[in-house]
Amino acid sequence: MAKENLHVTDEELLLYADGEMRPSSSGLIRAHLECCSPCRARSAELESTLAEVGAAHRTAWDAELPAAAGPRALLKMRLAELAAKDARNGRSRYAWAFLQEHGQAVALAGIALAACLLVAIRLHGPAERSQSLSASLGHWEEPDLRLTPGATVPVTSREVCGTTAAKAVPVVPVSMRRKVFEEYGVTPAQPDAYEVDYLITPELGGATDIRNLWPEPYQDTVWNAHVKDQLEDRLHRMVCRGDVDLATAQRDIATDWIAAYRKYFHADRPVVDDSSLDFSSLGRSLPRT
Amino acid sequence: MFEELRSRLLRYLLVLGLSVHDGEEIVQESFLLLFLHLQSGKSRQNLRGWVFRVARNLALKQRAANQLQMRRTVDFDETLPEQHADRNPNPEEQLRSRQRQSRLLAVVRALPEQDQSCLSMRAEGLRYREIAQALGISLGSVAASLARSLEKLGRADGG
Repeated sequence: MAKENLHVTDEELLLYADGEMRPSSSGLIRAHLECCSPCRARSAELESTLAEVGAAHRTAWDAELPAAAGPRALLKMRLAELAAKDARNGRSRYAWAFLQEHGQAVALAGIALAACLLVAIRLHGPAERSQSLSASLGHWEEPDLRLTPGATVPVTSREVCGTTAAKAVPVVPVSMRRKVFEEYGVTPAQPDAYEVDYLITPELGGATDIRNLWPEPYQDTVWNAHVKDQLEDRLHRMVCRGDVDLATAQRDIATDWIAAYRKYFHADRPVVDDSSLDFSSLGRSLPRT
Repeated sequence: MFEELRSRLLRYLLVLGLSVHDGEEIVQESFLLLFLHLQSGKSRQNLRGWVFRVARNLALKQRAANQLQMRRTVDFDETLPEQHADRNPNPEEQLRSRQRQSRLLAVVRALPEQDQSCLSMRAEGLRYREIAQALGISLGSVAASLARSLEKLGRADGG
């Protein structure tokens, strides 16, 4: 790593510019750049070459790209088809056929395939079906605080922000998922519609503990798991910037995450976050000009 | 969102040497798989990296299949659109910038495939951790690859 008397390598400059240096190294590099003009110039040169390559790359290929309207319509149709086929054949048979057809790629996506039905129906399907589905699902936009009061592990905000390991959210073991579903009375036919979510995300020091887990619906509600993810990302950034202290973030998200969302996004409803993939916009048509 | 990500994926697939037609197909499939992924309760961290990875795997498979069918050589120079008019009014300046761009791209095309992938994903605005996930390599390898490529690009620029 960059000693004070050594220059910063190109690799380090690149990682630093992309925000991938540990805070301690990042500080060293910043300090070095402040007083070393060759390294500053090198960093600028690297970034400008990257920008130039980027521009050249887009110029070269853009002319070849056909308009998006056709492909978008095609994708919509395929999703609708997927849903219709799914409804006819039953989930597992379709999932199996898909798996056989696209074996390798699907291995990446995992085997819990059938849940796409729910998305497809929400986006494209007939309204009454979507209603009957959502009516059959119990909803816990927010957890039952008696069952899920939230639980944390003892960490400091430094630890939460410092290591990349802390950012990887541990997978909830199957046995624990099952217990959570039992606790909330989710029948075995429904689990695809839920994320067994951490009330206090591990990125904010939440524990893998049944008191910190509840079945959160993916869709059919405004305040769903995707929206909560936005809040988690924002709170994590705010804690790491020092705008909010960790304990406050934990308390706010555990007490009432929807209220916390409104507070930290200054918005009454979920905002569309461009940095995350928002598929709710897929169904709307945006004619290309 | 579809539109933006589609262009990014598609340009990258073209870099990998796929036809527009195959590229579109793979983009479709990648999006379908992304839906399945999202619904299967899998991690939603780094989705762009994930989708680029899926598309890349499909592309490599497709490319292998194509190469079996017919061993065609691609004349890369044809891919530079000559008629692509930019709005710069100064023709000399325009010519110079175009020459510079094609010089850069010529260097890029001569790079090993992984280095090309890193560069073009960076050009598509992916973060290094997203590129790392897409290629199944470490962050350090992404940085090393880019540093290597930039070194070569810099040398070509000087000469």
